[in-house]
Amino acid sequence: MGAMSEKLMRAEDYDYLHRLLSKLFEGMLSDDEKVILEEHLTRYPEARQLYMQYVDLEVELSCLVEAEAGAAEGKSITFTQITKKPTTVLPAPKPKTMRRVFAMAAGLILAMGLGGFLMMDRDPDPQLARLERVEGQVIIENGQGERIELGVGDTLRQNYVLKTPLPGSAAALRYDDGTVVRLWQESVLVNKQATRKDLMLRRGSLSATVSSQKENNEMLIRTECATATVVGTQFSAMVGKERTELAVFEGVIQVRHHQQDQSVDVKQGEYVLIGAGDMQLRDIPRPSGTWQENFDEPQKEYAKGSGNWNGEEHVQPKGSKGFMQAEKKIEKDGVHYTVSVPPDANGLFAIHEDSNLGFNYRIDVSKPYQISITTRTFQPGKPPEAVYTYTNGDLHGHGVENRWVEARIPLKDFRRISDGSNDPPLGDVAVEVIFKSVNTNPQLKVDKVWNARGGVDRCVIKAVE
Amino acid sequence: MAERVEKDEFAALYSRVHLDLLRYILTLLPDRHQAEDVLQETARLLWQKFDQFDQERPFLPWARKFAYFEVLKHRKKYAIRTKYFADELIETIATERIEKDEMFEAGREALNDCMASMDEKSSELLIDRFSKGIALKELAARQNRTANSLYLVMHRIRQKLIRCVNNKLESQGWAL
Repeated sequence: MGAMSEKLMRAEDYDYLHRLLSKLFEGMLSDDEKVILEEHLTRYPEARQLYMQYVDLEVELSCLVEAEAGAAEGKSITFTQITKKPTTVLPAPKPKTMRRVFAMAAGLILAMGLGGFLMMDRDPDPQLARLERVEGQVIIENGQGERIELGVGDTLRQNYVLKTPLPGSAAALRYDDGTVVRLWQESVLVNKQATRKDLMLRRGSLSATVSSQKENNEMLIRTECATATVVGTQFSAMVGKERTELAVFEGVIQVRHHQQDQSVDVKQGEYVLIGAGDMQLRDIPRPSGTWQENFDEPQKEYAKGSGNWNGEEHVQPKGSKGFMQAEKKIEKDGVHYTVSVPPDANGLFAIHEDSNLGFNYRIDVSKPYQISITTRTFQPGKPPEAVYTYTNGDLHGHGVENRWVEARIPLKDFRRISDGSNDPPLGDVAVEVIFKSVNTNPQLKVDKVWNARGGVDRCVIKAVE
Repeated sequence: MAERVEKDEFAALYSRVHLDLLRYILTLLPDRHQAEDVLQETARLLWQKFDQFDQERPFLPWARKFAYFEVLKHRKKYAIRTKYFADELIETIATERIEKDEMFEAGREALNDCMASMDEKSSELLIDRFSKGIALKELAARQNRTANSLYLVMHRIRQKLIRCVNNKLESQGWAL
């Protein structure tokens, strides 16, 4: 074969080439068509270019993630922004796309006409907050529904509605007095006041570390059913469909139930559940250092009934043994199963320096697979945060039908993926486990998950007899 | 401890380029499953040779060389030469892929916009096919239609997306 020639394709060849390329990536190309395709690619540079575009399209399509539009738009399926990097390994800083730069520039112009709605200059002011961390999409809205996408360094003062509309979106606000408020995914926070930290959590969850506030000028966190008065402490709050949860990790917070006009002091190590008609004060559970679920026991109390928690559908990996529930999510890098317990249970287990996680799994399809595991914190009143992940090394191979494999992984083989600035100490919080399988969706099956302490120095993988 | 740090460094670098590598490999070996096999093998090799990587230099070109040779090895091992493209064509495509990297990057940005503006039916079909990984034949059976008619629908979606991307690229001044 000689050098690639530089001819122009005819329009009809171009259409035909589209068809051949579609067939190629659907695995429907016949031998004859393969010869024709190769001939086109050899002769025409634009055919090669189109071929590479189809390759890119295949890879981008394989990164698709199913997402629901906001409640207002109903249940239609939309595409979220497709990122090019996996989230299971070290997340790289997200580059600002041109679209985002334009959005921020537009925000600046818009802000000038909105009377201080968004301030880009920094003044010494205890009520002024600067965005010190932004994950995913973070926006503010004014009363006219105008939306501005925010980035790190933008400042907020009053009359704003701050939203983290998508799964994975989050924002951290730092006030001049050192107070930090973290707004977690799918949350809405409203601030109307100019002279006081007076925040209304309409939806979702936040956590905060609050510096000492002046007397009669305490920080207020409002929800639909209660108001928390904060002098200086660490706490988290979550607004659900039917109740609010607020947990205190340091200091004391006074919580007042609006309807009952009743107040309760929530102390360090306690959390309060606030429903329409009552408030229940409870201790934050101390999770056990060891735990096991072999799936062979009768269905657990909390798993009885509809199989739904908070209205969300939960299923266990198909083919798994027993009744333990797991949440299935389809994401860019594979199917994820979260083995967890509902919010009222005591979590799974705490991790310690000598913890090791064990589980049995099976891949029935004879394909190369890779499994990664992420553990994430579980605290009342606080959304889960990923803390450790295990992605490399021994958890890959070729699937063999009907063969269960046992894996035991010591904590040191897990890689921390959070930045460590807000991590609870080891042993303090319960941990959930998330399994992900790549390449084999949905053939991952899980049986018997346990957490033990000591006795395992390195990752051990062996077939189960 | 040193190995742990090295592992973290490798994971960070690899996570940034792994989709670029997959695109590159799939360009040379247009079969998704085989491309993923080669990618996995390439990742293993990159980790083995990571101590030879010069941290002052970019990671992707270094990684691409391994991917290229892994593709050749795979072709030889499984005699794919007879199935997918001659060696000379592979070489040309590999070179052009790198030369036009910037344009393809712009194309992928445009593709995000094009996908966002797709109708709901097409979106649902793509989710079923790619996100849920349902095979074309199975999807067709579920929809009570032939695989060939569903292929035509998929073909039209692909073609529409590519044309949308090209329109956007042309409006940005790229010569196509």
